[in-house]
Amino acid sequence: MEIVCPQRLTTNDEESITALAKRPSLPVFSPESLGFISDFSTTLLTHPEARSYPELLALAHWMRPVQIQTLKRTFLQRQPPRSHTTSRGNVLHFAPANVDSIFVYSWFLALLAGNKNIVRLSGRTGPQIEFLLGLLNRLLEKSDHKDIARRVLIVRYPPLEATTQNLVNLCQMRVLWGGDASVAALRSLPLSPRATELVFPDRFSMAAFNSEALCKYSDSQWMQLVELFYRDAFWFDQLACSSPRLLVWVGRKSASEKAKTTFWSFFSPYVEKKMGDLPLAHGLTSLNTAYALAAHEQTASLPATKLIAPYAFTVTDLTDILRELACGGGFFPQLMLPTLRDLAKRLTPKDQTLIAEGFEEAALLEMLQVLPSGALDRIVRPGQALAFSEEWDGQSLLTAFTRLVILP
Amino acid sequence: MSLQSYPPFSLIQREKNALFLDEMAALTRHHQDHCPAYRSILNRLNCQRASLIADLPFLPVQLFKILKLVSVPDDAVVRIMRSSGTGGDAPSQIFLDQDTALKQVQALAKIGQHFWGKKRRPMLILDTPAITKEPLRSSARAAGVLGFSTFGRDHCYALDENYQLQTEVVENFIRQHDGSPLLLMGFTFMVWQYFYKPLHEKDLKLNLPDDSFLLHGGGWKKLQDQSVHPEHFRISMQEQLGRIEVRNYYGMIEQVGSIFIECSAGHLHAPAYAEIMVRNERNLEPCAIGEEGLIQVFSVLPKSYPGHSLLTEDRGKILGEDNCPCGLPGRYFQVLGRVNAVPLRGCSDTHIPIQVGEGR
Repeated sequence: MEIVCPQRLTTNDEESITALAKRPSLPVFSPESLGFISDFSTTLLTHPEARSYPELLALAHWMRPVQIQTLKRTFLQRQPPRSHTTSRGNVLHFAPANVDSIFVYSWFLALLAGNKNIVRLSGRTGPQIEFLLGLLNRLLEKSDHKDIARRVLIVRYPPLEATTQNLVNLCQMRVLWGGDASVAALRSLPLSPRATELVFPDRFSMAAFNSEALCKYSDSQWMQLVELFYRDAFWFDQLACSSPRLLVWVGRKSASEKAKTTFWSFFSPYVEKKMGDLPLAHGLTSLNTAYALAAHEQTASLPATKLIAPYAFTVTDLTDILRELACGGGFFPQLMLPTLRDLAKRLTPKDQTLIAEGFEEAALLEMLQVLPSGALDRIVRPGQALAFSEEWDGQSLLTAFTRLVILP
Repeated sequence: MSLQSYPPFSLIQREKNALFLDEMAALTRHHQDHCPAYRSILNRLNCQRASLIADLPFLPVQLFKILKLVSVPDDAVVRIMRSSGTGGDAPSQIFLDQDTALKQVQALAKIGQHFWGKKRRPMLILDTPAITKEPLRSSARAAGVLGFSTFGRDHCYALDENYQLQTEVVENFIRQHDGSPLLLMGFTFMVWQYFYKPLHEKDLKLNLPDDSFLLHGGGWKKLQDQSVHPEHFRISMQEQLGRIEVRNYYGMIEQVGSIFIECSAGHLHAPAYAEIMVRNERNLEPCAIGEEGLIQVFSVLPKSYPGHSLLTEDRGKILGEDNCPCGLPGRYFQVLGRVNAVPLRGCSDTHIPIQVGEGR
C-alpha cells in the first residue's frame, strides 16, 4: 500500500492506519475542518495552475467558506430538537476512476461531519489528480492543519481483497463510488456489524428538451442553451454519472425535427470552437457503439458522419442496452417522444439526472406522478448537471456521515 | 473462377477490381442472409448498389469486441479466435467454421510460398511452445505463428515456457540443418525482446544461410515505445543472424490468412485474396494514393463471420498500384501506426509477461 497523502516518511503504513483509527474524532463542523477547507478553497482558487482544471475550480468554488457556512446552517437547522449530532468515526471512501474530484467532496463532507477518513484512490493517475494531491500535501504539512493531517490517509493499492478487508474492519462507514462491477466486488466484503455504507454505483443521465418551446427560442436563447449543455456534456467527456448521454426531444414529431436541426446548427459549431476536432479514437468508439446499437435494432439509422465531431443519431427507444453501451466522448443518441409521460414510463432506477429545458414546472411535477419507483434523483437546468450537492443520489451525505445522540 | 484459386500476385489492379468487387458483394449478401446482427446493421445503413469496393458497407473492427457476429450455426464453429482485450476491454471474438479455417490456411500457404518457395523449410519459431496450448492457442499471436507452421518442418521453438532464449537448442537446430535455408517466424515485439536482445547481449552471431527468411508481424507499437523502427529492426536482425531476408507482415485476428507481406522494396502488398483502402479520418471518404487516413481491409476468406470488410484503427497510406519497384502487381501500402489512445486491439499485446515485469 502506498500512502499518497499526507506524506509521512518515517512511520510504516500499518502504524499510520492504526493510529488514525484510534484517534478521537472531531466535532461536527469543527473549527479545524472549517479552517482547512477554507484554506484549501482559497489556495486552489488563487493557484495559477488550477485554471487549467475547471473541475477543480468548481470544487474550490463549492468549498468556499460562505458556501460551507450555508451548508452548516441548513444542516444544523434540520437536526431534531434535544439531540446531539456527532460523527460516525472512521469512514472508508473508495474513489471512482472517472472523476478525480469526487473523493474530495466525499472526504470533506465526512470531515465536516467530524469523521476520520481513509480514501482509496483508483490506480489511474493524471496531471489533475497529481496536482490535487500535491496541493493537499502542502496544506497538510502546515501546523495549522495538523489535526486534519492526523485524521486522513489517502492511499493507493492494487485491488487486493485482504488489504481492503483490513481497512473495512476498521471503519464504521464505507462509501463506494464506482462502476457496478467494482461496487459488487467491494460489497462482497462484509462490514463490521454496526457499520453502515453509502453506495454510488453506475448511473445514467439524460437531457429532455421541450421541442415546441425551443422552436420559439431566439438565437441568443439557443446560444445560452448550447453553452450550458456543452458544459454538462463535455466537462467529463459524458462519463460522469450525471453527464447527459441521451438527448430526448419531447413534442410533436415535426417540432422535434425542427428543434433538433436548430440545436445541432448551434451545438456543432460551438463544440468545434471549444474543442476543435474531437479525438479520432473517440469518434471510432462512437461509430463502433452506434453499429452495436444498430445490430440490436435500437437505431433508426446510422449516419455516415465525421469521426472528429459529435456523433448524433436517432434511436428508437430508451433501453438497458442503450444505457449500457452509451460510450460518451461525444456520443449523442437522440430519442423523440410525444410527451414527458412517455419518457417517464421508460425510466428505471439506473436513471439519475434529467436535464430539463423548456418545460413548465407543472409538466415536470406531473411526470413525477408516473415515474417508476426508484427512477430519477434530480431534475436540473442545463449547466447544472455536474454541480455537486451534499444531497446526492437521493440522500444527504452529511446526514449519512453523522449519527444522533438523543438527549433527555 | 474464385479469387482464391489465383496465385497471390498474378492480377494487375484493373483485372482484380472487378473480380474482387463481385466476391465482396456476394459475401455481403451471404452475411446479410446468415447473420441477423449484420443484417440489422445493413438495414440502417444507406447502402446503394456498389460499383466500387469503397461503396460496400464495412464494420468497425472493435465491433467484434461487443457483439457476437457469426454467420454459421453454433455447432458448425470449430474454433473461436480471441484478440487480447487491453485495459479491461473485452477481447474480440472471431468464429471459424471448418471451411473458413481451411481457406485461411490455404491462402496463407499461397502467400507464403510466393515469398519463400514451395519447399518446406526447417522452421525456427521465435516464441514459446506455450502458444500451442490454451489460452495462447486462440490468440492472434498463435494464429500468426502457428498458421505458418504447416509450411515448415522440424519445428523448433527458440524460447522456453518462461520466454528464455534456448541458445543451445537454437544452435543445435542450425547445425542440424547446416546449409539449408530456414524459415523464422515470430511476433515483432517477441522477436525483438526475447530473441534479438539476448543474442545481442551475448554478442552471439548465428550466421544463418543467406536465403533464410524471417517473417514477423503484430505491430510496432511496443517497439516504437523503445524507439525501434523498421529499418533499425531489420539491420539489427541481420547483424545477429546474417544476410537473411527480414520481412514484416500486416494482418489481424479478424482476417487471418489473407495477410499483407512486405516485398523486397519494403512495401506491404495486397494479395489476390485481400484488398486495402484508406479513408479520410475526418469524413471517412476514400483517400487518394499517398493520402494518409484510416486503413480499411477486405478479405475474400471470412464466410463464418461477417469480417470481409473492416474499418481498422490503424493509420496508413496507399503508396501505389502496379508500380512497386519490386515488380509485384496490385496495390501496395504503408502502415503508419495505430490511432492514438484507442486501446491496443491488435496482436502483440496478447502477451502478458508477468515474469518479465512488462506489467499490465
